[in-house]
This record gives sequence, structure tokens and C-alpha cells, in this order.
Amino acid sequence: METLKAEIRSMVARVGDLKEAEIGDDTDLANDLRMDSLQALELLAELENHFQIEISEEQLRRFTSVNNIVGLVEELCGQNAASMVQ
Amino acid sequence: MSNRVVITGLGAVTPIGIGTDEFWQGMIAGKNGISEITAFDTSSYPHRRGGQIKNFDPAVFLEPEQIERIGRASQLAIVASKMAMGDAGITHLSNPRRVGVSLGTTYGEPGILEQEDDLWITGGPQSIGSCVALKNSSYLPAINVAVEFGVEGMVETLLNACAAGNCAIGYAFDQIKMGCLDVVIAGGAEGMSRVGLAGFNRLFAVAPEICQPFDKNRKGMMLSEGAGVLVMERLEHAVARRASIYAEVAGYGVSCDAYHITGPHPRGIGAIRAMESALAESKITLDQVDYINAHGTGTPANDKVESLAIKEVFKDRAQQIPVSSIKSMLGHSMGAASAIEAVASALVIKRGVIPPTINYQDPDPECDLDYVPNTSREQPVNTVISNALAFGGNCAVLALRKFDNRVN
Amino acid sequence: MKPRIVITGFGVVSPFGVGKQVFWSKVKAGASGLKPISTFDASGCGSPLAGEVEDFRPEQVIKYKGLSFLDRTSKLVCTAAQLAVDDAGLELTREAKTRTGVVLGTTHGSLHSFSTFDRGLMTKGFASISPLLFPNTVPNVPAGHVTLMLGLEGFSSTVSSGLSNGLAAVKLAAQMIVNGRARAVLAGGVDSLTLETLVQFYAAGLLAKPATDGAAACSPFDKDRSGISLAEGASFAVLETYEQAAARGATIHGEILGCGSAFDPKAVYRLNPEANGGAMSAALENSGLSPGSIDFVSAGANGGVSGDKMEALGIKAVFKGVLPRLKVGAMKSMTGECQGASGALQICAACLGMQEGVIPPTINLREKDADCDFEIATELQKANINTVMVCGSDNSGLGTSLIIGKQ
Repeated sequence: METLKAEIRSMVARVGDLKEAEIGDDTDLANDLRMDSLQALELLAELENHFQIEISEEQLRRFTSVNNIVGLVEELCGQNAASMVQ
Repeated sequence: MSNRVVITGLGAVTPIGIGTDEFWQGMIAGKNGISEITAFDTSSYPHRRGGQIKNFDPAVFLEPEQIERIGRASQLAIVASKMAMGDAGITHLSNPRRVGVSLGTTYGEPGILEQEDDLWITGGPQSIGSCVALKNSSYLPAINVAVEFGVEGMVETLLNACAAGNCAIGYAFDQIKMGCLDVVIAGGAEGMSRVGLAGFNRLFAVAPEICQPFDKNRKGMMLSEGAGVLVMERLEHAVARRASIYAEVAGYGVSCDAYHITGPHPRGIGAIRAMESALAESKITLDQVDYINAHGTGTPANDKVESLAIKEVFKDRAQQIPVSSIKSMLGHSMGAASAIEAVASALVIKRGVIPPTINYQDPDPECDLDYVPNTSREQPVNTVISNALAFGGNCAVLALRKFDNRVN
Repeated sequence: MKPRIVITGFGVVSPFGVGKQVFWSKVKAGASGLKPISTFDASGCGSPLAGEVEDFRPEQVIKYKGLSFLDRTSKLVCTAAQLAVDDAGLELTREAKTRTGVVLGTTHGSLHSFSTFDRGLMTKGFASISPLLFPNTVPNVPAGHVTLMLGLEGFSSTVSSGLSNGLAAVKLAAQMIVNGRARAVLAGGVDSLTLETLVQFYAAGLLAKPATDGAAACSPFDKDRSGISLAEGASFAVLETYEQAAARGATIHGEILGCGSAFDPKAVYRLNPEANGGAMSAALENSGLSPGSIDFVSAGANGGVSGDKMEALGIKAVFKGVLPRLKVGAMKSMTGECQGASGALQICAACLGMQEGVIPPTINLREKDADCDFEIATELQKANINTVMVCGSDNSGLGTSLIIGKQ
């Protein structure tokens, strides 16, 4: 969980051109860190490629903080893992 | 020196009609030009429909050796220009130095660039031969039009993407106003691009089935291709040769949002200023505007912001002005879009019918103007404001007016 | 021109480095900006010498969020834009920003980004595409980044008209101001040196024969010239109305007295070069000046076999009768063909030359081509120059010329 959080924080920092120290677990990415929709899409693409998951445009709305993204990725990875166990 | 500038010829190659008459008939009938894109493999794209012109056969209009040496956008541009010049009744340039070409585009010839990329992928960069290298430059459509007619004045290409058509027309307007040129073949051309379709898909900006500008459930734009060309002429020059006049180009306004590289400013400040500038230059009052040809791409952001901007500019009058988006029928042909819309606007003034916004099913409370839903409307139209709002918040607006000899 | 349009500053990123001073001092010294290419493997194109902007660090000049996602073209142009604003001392108040615009000329500005994106799409599939890189594929996005970085709300345009597109951009900018659409414009151009661009020129057979010394690689107007040496850069001239510049006490480097463009419809699809002087004549007509009033022609000649010939023939035709007193120079002998950036670089050199009373040299000229029946200074020369015609043209038949007057 901590590794996942660290990975995601690092991606957010890279995409948003920010320092990791600015990105708290619950810092609001749009309102506090001024990340915009294009950066959100870039983050989505990176997460999809890195974790081999598919994120829909609706789920994009949950990109509000590192914690929320971690939650989403865990859900989607969990689904993936579940679908592999047949 | 300030000459008046009029439109004496029109040409269009579009997904709903090839040639101005067919385009006009399709537009007032509310024809849907969107279909499954077959110009390239779209199997990996989430959304695959767009305004591809499937019934355009260049061999009908151009010589084989011409087709051999030029790309799609050049073909569309030359054909639309031949239509426009034929329509204007200009068969020969008596003073070619006083004639120019001003075209808008985004990528120029993306099909050729994409061919080169395919060669690069299979054989490395050294496999790109001169046969394609000399066909890909973004200024080639304008050059090819100039070669077609023997133009010797300015030949310019504006790469302003979704606003390129209006910007090319605006530059032509200034050149003629200032007395540098007498005639300009002005407009825009764009070919289908897999990079464009992939990119807009990746931004979740493409609609799955239909384009629904201003509708509550609109899901995005549709990428398309085409060409629209106007013959723009100094008034005295047109009168001297007894040319038929469609309309007058009365004003041109430009501005920028300086807000975001792809999305519009939430209050539409660039669009507001561009509309206000066009109105101010043309001396057209708010009461006199009879129709607004919207940028209306069908994306949630554009349509909301554009509606807001129109209300801000036109205040109480906004609710009375019909606003329609022909992108509902044609899709978004990028560099050609606002040029085709200028052709449409000139026809609206001449023929007195306002094209509809089709696919309009559910009103959006945030878009509460009269969008001429689904059915065209007959009414006299003397003035049109035509909007183009591009990437980088680049806004360009044209003001067209019925030609009246008495107006100063 | 009414109103009068003057130049109040320059932003320069050239093969000589970042900044106007290093550019001008190297140009006066007759230095060559050509070197082996270090940022990519050019062996497939004969490892030509090229005018690369070495060790380019935009973060040393600009602060712009998301800089790392901009492509080289956008980084070059944002750097030059910031330098231009600083050099002109433009105070970008809220109100001023609404009346300040940008015009860029570019030949292949977004080609690298377009092709990288496209090749990625084709080889690795849709899911591998980076959304943030898609805007880089669109040619007017670099100008868009300038407006975002500086908060400019006037307008932004990108033009494409062959190798003279930087001059075409300045012409459009001047006309936007004359027509009251802006009060100040950053006008210039950009092109970056990438394998994709190099391959275009190589495949079209336009590059100079491989050489290890700059002399053979880039010799405009020389009898034995073999082709173009490519270069990169970004440059801006800051254009303002004379009234605005005078009111704020700005340094005026020169005045735009006239602009002209022309096209030769017979040039692009035939092999036989003819005189390409249409733009020169158009600029003279626009300015109301006679050929005899021009002291110096800053030619666009870049070593192109037919392009240089077309320009030389054009100069001879337009300046017939006054050739003996005319001086001609080819800046690209030193910088290489900077494509979109060339125009404003030529204007910068012209203005600074007029101010200092010097004509920079044309280097690598061993023996003038027989068509060049005019004086070309091969050493730095003191001269009282009051009016310069700056030219650009190429094999496509497109050309633009500007006439700049001393202040």
C-alpha cells in the first residue's frame, strides 16, 4: 500500500511538474495543486500503462487526491487479479 | 486607405456535399455527414466515426499527373478553389501580382506525413524518398492552388488549427482593405488524420455516434475533413467586372484566452473580445445581427462557454438571435471548418435560410439560446457573426453583411 | 506605413547560443555556427554539419509550469519570447496584454512531435499515447504556449510559407498592428533540428554535400555551393507602433518601411530557376521607395543550388541600374538555414548593423557565382547603412521581403 502510494505520488509529481513534498495524501489535486484536465488525462494514461488497467472517463472524476487514486487503482487491480483467477 | 471587401465566389467540398449547391441542399435538409471512418485502421480507437468525404474522386476534377504529385488537402483545396473561381466568373488573371491565396489548415498534409512514418517504421528514416518528402509541407495546399491559377501575389498559409479558416479569411480581408491585393482565394483545407483522431480520442473529446452541439447529452466532437473557399475581392474591382456579390466581409475580430493549451477560458473572455472586435469594426449593432454561426463543436466545454460568451456580448438580444452549429452535420474539419462555415454564412445571407443544429434532443439549462433545432428556418438574414475558437484559446470571428451599395 | 511600425527589441536563440549579444558578436566576427550534430544520430543523412543550439537549457531563462512536457520547438520559442519581452522592456500590464499578440513562422515546427506520436501509435498502440504530448503535434501550439507563459490575450498566429516564413510572420504582425488589431506583437519564428526535419531535406536532395569544414558545407552565392546546411533556432522581433514606443521611452532599433510577398507559380514544379524578385519589388512598392534607396540587401541565400541562383537573378533584375552601389550579404553563411528562425535573425543583424555602422561578412565565399553581379562583403565592413532590404525565398517560389529603416 505504501509502495503503491509512493509510486502514485511520484507520477503525480512528474505529470504536474510538482515537488513530492507538496503532494499530501489528501491534498486536492485540482483546487490546491492547480492540476488541470489535460494533466489528469496524462495521469490516467500513465496509470493505465503502468498498472495494466483501464480507467474510464467517469472514474477520472475520482482523481481528486493521492489517497483516492490509490483506492481506485487497488479496486481496478483487484478486479484484474480476480478475473485472472478462473 | 480602406477598401470594402466582398465575396464573389464560393466553393466547398464537404462530407454532406461536394460543390456549393449540393453542400447547401444537404445543409438545409439537415443531412448527417458522419459515418464510420475508413481512411485508415481505426480498430484500436475507442470512437471511430467522423466526417470522411467518401464520394470524392479527385480524378473527376484533376489531371492524373496533378493527383500524383499532391496530397489530399491540396486536392480538396484545388477543387474547392476551382469551384469558387468558376463561380466568381474569373477565368484568367489579368494582373496576377494583385491576386493572392490565403489558406488555413492544421497539419497540412497529414496523410503524407503518416505515409512517411510507415516507411520509417518498416525501413528506417533512410527509406523516405523525395517522392513523399516533397509532398508533405503544410504550405503546399496554398501553393498548389496558386499554381492552378497562376497567382503571383501573396500565398500564405495560416496554421491556426480550428480558427485557421477565419484567420486566413481575416488576413485576406486586411490585404484587400489596405490595397495590397485585389482578389484573394481564401479559405481552408484539411485531410483526415489518424494522429488527429487518436489524439482527440485520447483527450476523451470524441463523441461515439453523433455530434450534438449544445445538447444536454453531448459527448464531444467528430473529426472530419474538407475544404471551403471564398473568392474575396475589392469592391470596385468586383463592380467593374459586374461580378455577382454574395455578401460583404465587414469585420474580423481576434483574441486569445491565455488560459489553457486545449480548453477554453471558463468565462469565454477570448471569444467575447473577438466577437466584440468584429462587431466594432463592422459597425454592426447588436440589434442588427440576424444569425450566429457557432463554433459549436459538441464538446461539453466549448458549447457551454460559447453560449455564455454570446450572452455576455449580446445581452438581452442573445435570446432572439438564432445560433446554429453546422458541425452537427459536418463534424469538425479543423483548418477547413471556419472556412466552410464562412461559405455557409455567405449562402445564408444570399438565400435566406438558416441551417439547423441537428441531433438536438435535450436542452441543456446551461445552453439556453435558440439553436435552430433540427429543422432549417427560412428568414431573411442580413448579418452573420461566425465564430472559430481554437487550441490555445485562439479566437477569430468574422462579421459578414448583405452587400448594400448605400452603406459606408 | 501608417501607423509607423518600429522594432523595440529582439529575442534570439541561435546556433551561436542563447541571447542577442552572443549572436551579434559571432556574426560580426564571421564565425560559423555549424558543427557535427550531437543530439541525434545523423549518419543516415551523411552526418552533415548543422547549426544546432548546443547545451540548450530553457529552465535558465523561463519559468513555465509543465515545461518538461513541451517539445523542443515550444521550448525554443518560449525562451526567445521571454528574451524578446525583456530586451524590449515591455511592461505587460493587464491592459497591455489584451493588445499584445504573437506571430510565428515555422517550416517543420511540429514534425518531430507529430511523427513520434504517430510512430508510437502505430508500433505500440493507442493506449501508449501520452495525452500531454498530443498538443505538441499541432503546429500552432508553440505560439499558444507563448501566450500562456506571458499571459498575452491579443492574438496568436502561426504561418507557413517556405523558408521565408519568419519574414512572412513579421509582415503579418505589422499588418495586424496597422489594422488596429494589436499595439505590440512578438513576431518571428522557430524550427528545431531533429532527425525528422533533417531527413526531409536529405530525401529532397537539398542538403550540401558532406563536408568536415563549414566552408564547403555552407557557401551561399559561391560558384561551387552544393546545398543547404540545416540549423535551428527561435527568434522574435518586438513590433510596436512608433507612438507607443516613443511614449514609453523604448529603444527603437529600426522601423519597418515596407513589406511584400510574391509567388512564382512556375518555380515549384520545374527545374529551371528563374529570377525570384517578385517579393523584393512588392516591398519597394509597398514602401514607396526606389531601388536606389536600398543600401544593403540581407539575402536569404543559404547555399541552395537553385535557390541562391533565383535570388541572385532577382536582385539583379530588381536593382538593375543601381547594382554598383548595392551591397549584399548572406547571414546564413554563418548560421546555416535556421528556417523559421532566420527571418527575425536577419532583421536583428540588419538593425544592429545599421546602429553600429557595419555590414557583417558573408563567409565561405571562395569564388562568387557568375550570376552574382553585385558586391558581397567577405569581411566585416564599416558602412553608413540607412535602409536594408531583408529577403527570404526558396525553390517553392514563395518569397517575402521587408524593408527596414535606421532610427
